[in-house]
Amino acid sequence: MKNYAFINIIFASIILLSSCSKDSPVPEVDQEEVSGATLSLIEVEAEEHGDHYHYHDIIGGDTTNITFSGEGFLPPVDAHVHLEVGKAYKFELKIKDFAGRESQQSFIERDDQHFAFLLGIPQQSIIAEYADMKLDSTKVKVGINGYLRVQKASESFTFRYLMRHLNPGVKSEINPTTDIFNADFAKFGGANDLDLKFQMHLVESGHDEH
Amino acid sequence: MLKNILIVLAVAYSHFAGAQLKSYSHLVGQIVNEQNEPITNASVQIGGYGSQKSSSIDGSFRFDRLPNHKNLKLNISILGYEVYQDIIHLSQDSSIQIIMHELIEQLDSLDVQGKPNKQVLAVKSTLSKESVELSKGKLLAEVFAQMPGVTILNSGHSVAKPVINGLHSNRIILLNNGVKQESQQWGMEHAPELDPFTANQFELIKGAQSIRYGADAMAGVLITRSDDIDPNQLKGRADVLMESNTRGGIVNFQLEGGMNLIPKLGWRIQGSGKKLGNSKTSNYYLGNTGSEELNYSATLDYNIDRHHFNSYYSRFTTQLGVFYGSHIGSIEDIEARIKNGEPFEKYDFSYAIDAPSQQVDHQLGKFNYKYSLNNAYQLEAQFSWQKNHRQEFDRRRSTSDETPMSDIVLTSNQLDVILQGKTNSFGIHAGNQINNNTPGTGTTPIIPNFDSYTIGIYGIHDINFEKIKLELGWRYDYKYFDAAGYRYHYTEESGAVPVQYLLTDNRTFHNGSGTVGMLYNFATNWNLKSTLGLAWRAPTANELYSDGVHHSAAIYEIGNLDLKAEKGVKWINSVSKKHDNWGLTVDVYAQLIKDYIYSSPSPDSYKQTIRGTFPVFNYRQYNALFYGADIHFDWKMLTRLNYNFQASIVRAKNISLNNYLPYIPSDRFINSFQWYLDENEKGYVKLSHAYIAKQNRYEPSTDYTAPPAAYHLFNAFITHPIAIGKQHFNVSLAVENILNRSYKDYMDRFRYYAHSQGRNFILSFNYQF
Repeated sequence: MKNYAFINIIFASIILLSSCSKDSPVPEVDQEEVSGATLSLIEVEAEEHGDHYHYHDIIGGDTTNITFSGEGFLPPVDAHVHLEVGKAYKFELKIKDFAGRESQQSFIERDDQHFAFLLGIPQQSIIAEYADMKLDSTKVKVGINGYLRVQKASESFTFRYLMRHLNPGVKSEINPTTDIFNADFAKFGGANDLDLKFQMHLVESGHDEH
Repeated sequence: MLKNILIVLAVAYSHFAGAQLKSYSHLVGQIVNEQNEPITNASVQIGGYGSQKSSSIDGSFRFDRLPNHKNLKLNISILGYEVYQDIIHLSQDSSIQIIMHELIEQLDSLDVQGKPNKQVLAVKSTLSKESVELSKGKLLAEVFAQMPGVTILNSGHSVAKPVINGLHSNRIILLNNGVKQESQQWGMEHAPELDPFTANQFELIKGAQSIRYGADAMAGVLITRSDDIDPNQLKGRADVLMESNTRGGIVNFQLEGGMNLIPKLGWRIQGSGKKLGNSKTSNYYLGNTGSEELNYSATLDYNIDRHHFNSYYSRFTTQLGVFYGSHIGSIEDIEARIKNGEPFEKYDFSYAIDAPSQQVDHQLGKFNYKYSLNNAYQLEAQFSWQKNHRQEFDRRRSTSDETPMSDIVLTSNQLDVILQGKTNSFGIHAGNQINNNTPGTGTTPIIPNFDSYTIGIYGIHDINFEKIKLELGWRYDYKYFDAAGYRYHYTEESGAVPVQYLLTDNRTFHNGSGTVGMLYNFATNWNLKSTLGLAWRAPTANELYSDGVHHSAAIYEIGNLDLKAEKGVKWINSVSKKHDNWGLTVDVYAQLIKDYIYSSPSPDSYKQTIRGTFPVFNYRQYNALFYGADIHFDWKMLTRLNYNFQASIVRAKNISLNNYLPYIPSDRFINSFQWYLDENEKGYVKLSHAYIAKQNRYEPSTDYTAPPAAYHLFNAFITHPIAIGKQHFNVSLAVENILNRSYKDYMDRFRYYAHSQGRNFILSFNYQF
């Protein structure tokens, strides 16, 4: 047998070794990432109906928007929100992905995996309830939309909005009424999708903003 | 003249008659050395036919009544020469001449397949046949971890990486049936994609082995290979294993033989499958820890004259669930879990594998050719191809969980050409790697696309003295690396979205390596081996380009474009004593690594992201020192009772900063007693005890919590052959963690979230035919 095998391996290998190269990378729009968020607090009228409330928009009511952006996702330097005792506020969170598109509804559609905790609020100062709705009009409790009723004044504090991406089966362990302020949120296993912080101050009516 | 005519007529008649009538022929032969001098007293065997014979004073031998048209295995051996094996196929009376080659003893195998009886100067361990059988069904790292000096880095129960003398991942080389395994080993949660059922020989070579195997072999080499195929014999094995902890099963089937149509052609096919459910600690299940595997391989082997061809293909596919509880958000989550001691969320048993999960497909193909030259040199060429496709899935929000977060295909080609002589050998290695991210993940890849081209040349030279054998090795490698991937620019402008830009980078690395090895037979049955080796490795893509949150560790990792190649000098000394009923091996080593790369926290540096605040870990380089010892002691206490002791001790420090390195194995000591059930030593009972000490050498600032406490584990194993009719089976039962102890291991990256596996019964049936 002539020793062609050796020569054939060498030539075939050289061809294969030199014929491959990497693909040109394709930019991805990061779907899971959040590029920025805006939290709006809009004054509404709360109407008591037995064991629950109905909320109505107020024409000309106070509206506060806080935008979180930049690499550190920090609020503006002077962001400081005053909410008045006795008043009710609708909160709405708008979230943008890395392409600048609004993506807050994607949290609501996967309501079995998401829940927002409102942290840092002095005890019994605020009553909160969530009011989210899926595209098929199903009412769910996620915390993208909801209402806050201010009960009593407090010193200024750091309000923390924490959206958890929960592990399977964990959402069913959360009581969407009593666990909203649960500082022991870490026991509800999962990752954080949003962790927003800003200064809040609960004030009596007539308090001068500063 | 008349005599010659008669001889020709006689031969012609015998040929004609043999072809038509004879079923048997005789074989005469002569055995000579490379100088054509006859070799006397060589042992000559023809498998299954006739008794062993010895060559006479003129080197000749003779076998009568050998069957025609059958593959006959010829085996010739004599001290000081390489064993000669060949398949012969007779159709008439024949004569042959065999040239025996003097035994070449080398520190590093020049044979890509690393055949037995080579590498006699290397400090190495080989797993016994019994240990190989005992470890059937285990992960590859668990198989190797039976050897002193090898430990495991776990990410839960189903992901295990081997660690040699404290080093792992891209600092060790895995040789898979003669091919350097190339997969995405940069990830600490990426286990080697190799089915242990494809091999029945497992070998560990400790020391800087870069001369033969190239860059990366800083700590050592793990070798898996199979026995040679005997084309004259159809044989195989079947294994069925069932384990209680994961309520899972593993099956394996292997068949090999030859073909009458093509004599000397051997073939082997093998396939295995695995399905395991959630694993269980001593008292709770770990959600989403099931796994599935489907693997198969095929080998063809052909010998003719001076040519030897071997081709091999294997495919390993696996799907692994990643423990739900390891999916965490921030330091707060880790601290809460550490405080709780176990996961908050408890799950029932399930076989379902959900996101987060990994799916890996690794294919390997090789073609190897060897040619024996007339002047006692052997020329070898091997080309190999590998494709590693890894997909990682996470719990997603904007798209289906079935869309991978990461989808990377790594393709590797390698060419090795080796000229092997009696005392001098030379080799050339060329290789390339192409890493491509598959578009459509909706996630910017952590690892960019890249090309990598390497070329290396080396030489190995032996010098033999009366009691000392020396080996000198040299090597030069060149590597070109070209990467391109998208990254983000952030802006502080309100409402602005991050802007993508294309990062392109290319760089070259090159380095020389060297080895000096010695074997000194300083007293009867006492050997001293000493190896001083210089090895290196280039930084990996994640070390250079990472920029993002590493969620399973809750850290923000930043790569370093200024990283240089790591360079390490390892000096390992091994003293061994073989006695009639006991044996002792003590390996002592020290390794100095210049520019050792690892990620460490930046003091008081945190990264605020929209998902929370994370400590920043930067990849940096420092000088590091590793040293330690491995001990192995065997004692045949009674006719049927064996005792075995193993110890592994590693110390590692960052000598630039004078502090300890993270994830270094703590001291471990393993004792076992083995009682043979009969004189034939086919069945036995084995009881073993492992003591894993607490790792007290750590830096509090680099970890979330102190290392877990020391622990003891007790294991048992019983195996016995059972005959049913003419068929023979082996039935075995293993019990791991007999006392169902609840423990955590420092080398398990999931120790923050959960305990290690509890008691496990493994029942296995093996049928070999």
